[in-house]
Amino acid sequence: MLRFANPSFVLRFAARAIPIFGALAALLLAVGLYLVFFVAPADYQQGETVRIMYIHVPAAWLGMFAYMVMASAALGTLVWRHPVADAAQKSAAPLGAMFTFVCLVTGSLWGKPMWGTYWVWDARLTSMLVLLLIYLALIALWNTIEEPQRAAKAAAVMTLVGLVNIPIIKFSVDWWNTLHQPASVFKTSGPAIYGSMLWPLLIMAVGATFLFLALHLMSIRNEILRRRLDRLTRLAASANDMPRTARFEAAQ
Amino acid sequence: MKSPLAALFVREFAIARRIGGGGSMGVVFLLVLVTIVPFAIGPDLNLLRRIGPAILWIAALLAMLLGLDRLFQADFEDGSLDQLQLGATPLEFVVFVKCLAHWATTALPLVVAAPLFGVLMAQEAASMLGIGVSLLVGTPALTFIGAVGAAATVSLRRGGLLMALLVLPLCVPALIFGVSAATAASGGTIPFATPLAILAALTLASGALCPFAAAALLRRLGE
Amino acid sequence: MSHDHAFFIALSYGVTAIAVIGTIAAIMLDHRRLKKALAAMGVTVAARDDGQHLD
Repeated sequence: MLRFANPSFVLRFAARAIPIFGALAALLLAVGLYLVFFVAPADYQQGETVRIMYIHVPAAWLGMFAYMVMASAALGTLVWRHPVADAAQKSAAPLGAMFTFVCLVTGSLWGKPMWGTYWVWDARLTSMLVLLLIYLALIALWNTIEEPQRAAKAAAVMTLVGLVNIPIIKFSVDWWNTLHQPASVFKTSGPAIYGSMLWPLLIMAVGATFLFLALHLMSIRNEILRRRLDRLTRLAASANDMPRTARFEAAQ
Repeated sequence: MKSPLAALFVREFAIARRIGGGGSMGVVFLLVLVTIVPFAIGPDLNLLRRIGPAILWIAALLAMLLGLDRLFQADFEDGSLDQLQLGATPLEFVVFVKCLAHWATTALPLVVAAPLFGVLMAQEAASMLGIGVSLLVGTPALTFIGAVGAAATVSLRRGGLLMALLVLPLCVPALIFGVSAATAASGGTIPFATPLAILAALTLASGALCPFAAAALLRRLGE
Repeated sequence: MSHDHAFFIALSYGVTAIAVIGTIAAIMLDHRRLKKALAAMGVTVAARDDGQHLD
């Protein structure tokens, strides 16, 4: 595990793993989509609209999984202070935001034919919306603080504070939801899932997870390269400045 | 001989009082918000009575954010923060006391004023009491959570908006239970004590945890 | 399959496809730009950073 602290090792690992993860993702998603559209039955209550669930649920899962990855990387930043952990943290935020966004959009598109409106303040959707806000705030934090190391530390602590908060937000939103809406109108528990629907869903979820892993590794690789480029640019700039500094010192 | 923390509290209090603005400006901001809301939604007293507690809570939440980005910034800029870190008192306690002082100067006036402004929102006496008590119990949580955001953005010249982005989603639980308690006070399906107890738990938990997060940020960002 | 439902299903999969493909494209374009910039500085991606203290 410690080898992952070495950026060169991570680059070599990424070069090998990205094609494998990418291929697995493509294969599983292709099989999953085939099953979703040609094998899985329509739900007796929801009809064909149930096919939206096969992307909605994996997106929700990855929206949360990405946060777990980000929080683990945040621990890496704070405890071991390693640049690869910083890169992993920074890369996970936009990906998590993307999956959370997909979860919200598909949930809303599922809601229109089911509930007759694009958005209801359903407890689970609302919790995901707050999660999206947290992701967006973290991305804004990364973009605002210029020094990468400082940004990494600030984002790491905010990520962990968010991690503690997410279950509390979930609990309070559930409470708020039961308070304001008669539970019978919107059933908060999902529909029962049968085997013929479970397999496609599982395959889609695993495929999407490999997609996330491949994208995350690609993004981490970019961050490592960006860091090197930054470093080289600085070295070149300071090399150019050397004579001037020397002249300045000689003049003193 | 005063203890270092008591001295710090007195110092913070004195600074806030001499700079002026903090508390009284927050109250004026609250009044302005309470005034412009009816312009937006119309002077329907029944509607105002129903959403009054929510409006006052949101207004108080926003008013609390006003001066929060300066919580550590002035000390960060003039080097006092380095001095406080060098002292024998753990930074976590320093943060805690700074939060308390900030709460006393910013939130306490809001807690007193908000129920009175309930008059403009057609609130009854029981409801005003509920708003006051729920704000009294809930606003410390907002200060503690806000302190983490303030610490994260301490090195930024214009961190105010970013701080609000970071802090507001984390304030959702306090807002939910605060408004629930305030609403429950004037009758409803749930007893007043339930949301208030949870609100108190949120305040205690954030008071126990947030100073550690904020102190960790201040230490690391100062490196 | 009613017309209405087909529309919402197509839109869901469409938005998802755009989001995923857009993310992949953004990351790959970023990668290409970084590789070019590094090559211009005389460093290949595969190069070991040992001794250069780039990380």
